[in-house]
Amino acid sequence: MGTRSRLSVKMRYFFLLLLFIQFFPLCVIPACAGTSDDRLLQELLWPGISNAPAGKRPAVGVALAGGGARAFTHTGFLQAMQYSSFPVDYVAGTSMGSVIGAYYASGKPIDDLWQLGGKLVKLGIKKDFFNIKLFSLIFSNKMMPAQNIQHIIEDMFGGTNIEDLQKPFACVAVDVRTGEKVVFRSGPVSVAVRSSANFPGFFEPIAYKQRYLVDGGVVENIPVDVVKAMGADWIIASIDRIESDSMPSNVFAVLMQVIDVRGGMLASESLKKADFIVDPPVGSISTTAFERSLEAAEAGLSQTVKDMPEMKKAYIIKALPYVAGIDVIPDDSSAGKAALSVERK
Amino acid sequence: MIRFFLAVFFAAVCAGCSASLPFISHKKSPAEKNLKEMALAYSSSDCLKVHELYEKFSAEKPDSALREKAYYYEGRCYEKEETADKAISIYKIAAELYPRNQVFPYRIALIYNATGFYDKALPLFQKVIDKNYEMEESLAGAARASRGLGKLKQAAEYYEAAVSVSGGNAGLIAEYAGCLSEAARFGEARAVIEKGIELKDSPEWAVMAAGTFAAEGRFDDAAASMDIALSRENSREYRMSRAFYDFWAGKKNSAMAAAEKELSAAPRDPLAAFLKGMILRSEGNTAEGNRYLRISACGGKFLYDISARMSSEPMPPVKELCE
Repeated sequence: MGTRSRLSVKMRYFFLLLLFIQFFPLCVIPACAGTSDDRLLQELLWPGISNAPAGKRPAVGVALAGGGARAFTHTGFLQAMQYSSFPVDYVAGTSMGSVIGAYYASGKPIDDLWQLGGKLVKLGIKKDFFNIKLFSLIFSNKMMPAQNIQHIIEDMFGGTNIEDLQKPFACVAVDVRTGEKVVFRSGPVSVAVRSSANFPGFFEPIAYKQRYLVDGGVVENIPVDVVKAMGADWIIASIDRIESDSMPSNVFAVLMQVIDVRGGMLASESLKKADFIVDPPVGSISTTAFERSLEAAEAGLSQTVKDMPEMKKAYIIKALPYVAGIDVIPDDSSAGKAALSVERK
Repeated sequence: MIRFFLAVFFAAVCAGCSASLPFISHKKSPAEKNLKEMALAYSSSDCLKVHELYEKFSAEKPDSALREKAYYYEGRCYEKEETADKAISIYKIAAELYPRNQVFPYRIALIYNATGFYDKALPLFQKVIDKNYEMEESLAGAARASRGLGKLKQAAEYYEAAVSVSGGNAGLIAEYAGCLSEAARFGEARAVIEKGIELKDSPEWAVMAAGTFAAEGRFDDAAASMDIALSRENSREYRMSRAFYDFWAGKKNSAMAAAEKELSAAPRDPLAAFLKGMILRSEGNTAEGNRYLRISACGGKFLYDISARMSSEPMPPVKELCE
C-alpha cells in the first residue's frame, strides 16, 4: 500500500512535469529546437558533402575495436555507413576488429561479411579455444598454436599485402618481449591480422621480423590514435563493450574478462579522442560466442542506423566549410568548440 | 403408400419443430447481450461504453468463444485511446487463449511498429504472414519493421511483396522507393518511382527522384527533376531544394538569384539566408556573408550550429541574436 501511494505521488509529479512542459515550453525560439528547415537543410547539404572528392573534405577514419565475437557489430556498422553513402577513407582495427576491417578494406562486398561469422564457426574457429588444455598448458610450459584461426585468416586474405587493399588499412599488435605497440601499415595482410587477433596467454606469439606478436587489444583495443596517424581528420569509433558484471565461470573466462576489462580501461582514453562513437548493446555476447556473431552484426546495424542522423549532422558541421571553400574559426578556439558541440557524444 | 407419406409428413413436422426450438426456447445470456452492445458501442466509437460493458461482461464469466470478441473490442478501444500498454496486455492474453486467431499477434505487431519496437514487431509480422493473414498490411508491417532495424535488403523484399499483393497502392510504392533509396539502390528506386507516377499524379515523385540523383552527385539531373515538381507545385521547399542543387552543381549565380528572390519576399527566411551567406563567404565577402548567417542562425538548432560554423566571427547566443 505504501509503495503504491509513493508510486502514485511520483506519477502525479511526472504528469505535472509533462503538463508544465506542455504549457511552458523551455524554449520558444526556433534556434533552440529542431525545425523542419533544420531537417531539409541537412538533407540538402548531405549529398554535396558525401559526394565531395576525398581531398576536398575532412578525411574520415573508422576505428574498429577488438572483442572477439562481439566485434561482428562492425559488420552492421559498416553496412549502415555504406547505405548512407558515408565516406570512409581510412580503416584501422584491433584483434577481431582487424579481421573485419581488413575484409572491408579489401573491397569485398559487405554482404559477404554478414556470412563471415557463420563461416568462421563452420571452419572451426572455436576449436582453437576448446583445444586449450589448461593442464598441459601449465605443466608442459608450451603454448598452443592457433591452427584453425591461422588457416581461416590465410584463406581469407591469401598473399595480399596491406598496401594493395582498396582502402588504407592498419592494425595493431603488441610485441610481448618489449611491450611495444606494433602498427601494421604494410606487408602481408594475413600476418598482420593474425598477429592482431592472436589471443595472448594461450596461443603462441607470431614470430615476424624479430618480433613476437600477440593481440593488440592489450595496448590499444580501439585504434583511434592509429587511424589519426594514418591521416584521418574525423574519427568514428565502433566499439563493443562487454558487460563486466557477469561472473566468469572458469580460469580461461577469467583471463579473457581481465583482458577485456583492461582493454576497456585503455579504451576510455581512446574514446576521448574519437569524434563520434557507435556503441551498440552487445555486452552480453561473450568473446568466443561466434555463433552469436549475426546477433552482434544486427545490433551494430540497428544502433548505427539510429545514430546516423546525429553522425551526419556532426560531419556536415565539420566538413561544410572545407567543401564550400570557406575559412572558418579554428576548431580548437572556444567559439569553434561551441559550434562543434554536437560532434562529441 | 399412405403410411409412407404420413411418416414423411411427421418427420418433416418434427424436423421443423426441432430446428425452430432453439429460437423459441433460447434466451440470450446477459454476457451475450453485453457483447452485442459492446459491438454496437465499438462501431459507434464509444469506447467509454465499451470499457463499461467489458467490466460487466467479464463479471458474468462468459465462455471462451464469447470472450474472444470482447478482447478484440476492448483492445481496439485501448488502441484508439493511445494506451498501447493496456492494448498489448489484453491482446497478449487473447493471443495465448486463441492461438489460431491471427488478429491478436497482428494488432500487437502494429502497435510495436507504431511505437518503434521494431525488433518485437518483426517476428510477429513474420508469424502472421506465414498464416496468410492480412497479407498487404502484414507484409507492409514487416517491411517497416525491417526498415526501422536497418535491414534494408529484407525490407525491400517485403515491400516488393506488399506492393505486388496490393495491386497498386501508391503510398506503399512511395515507401518502397524510399527504402531502396536509403539502401543506396538509386537506379532501382527511380524504376519504382516510375511505377508510382503511373498510379498517382503528384509532384512528390519528382522530389523523390531528385533526391536519388543528388545522392549520386548528379546535381543537374536533380535540379531538372525539381523543375518538374515546381511546374506542378511552386512551394518554397521545392524552390530552395532546387537552389541548393544548383549550388552543388557549381551554378552559384543561379543559386544566389534564387536565394535573393526568396529573401525579397521573406527577408528572414533561414534557408535562403544560409544559402546566400554561404555563397557570399565562399566568394570572400565576409562581412555580408556573416550578416546573412546571423539571420539563418535563428532558423533552428542545426541552422544555428552550422551558421556559427560557417561564420568568420563568433556567433552571439541564441537569445541575443533571435529574440
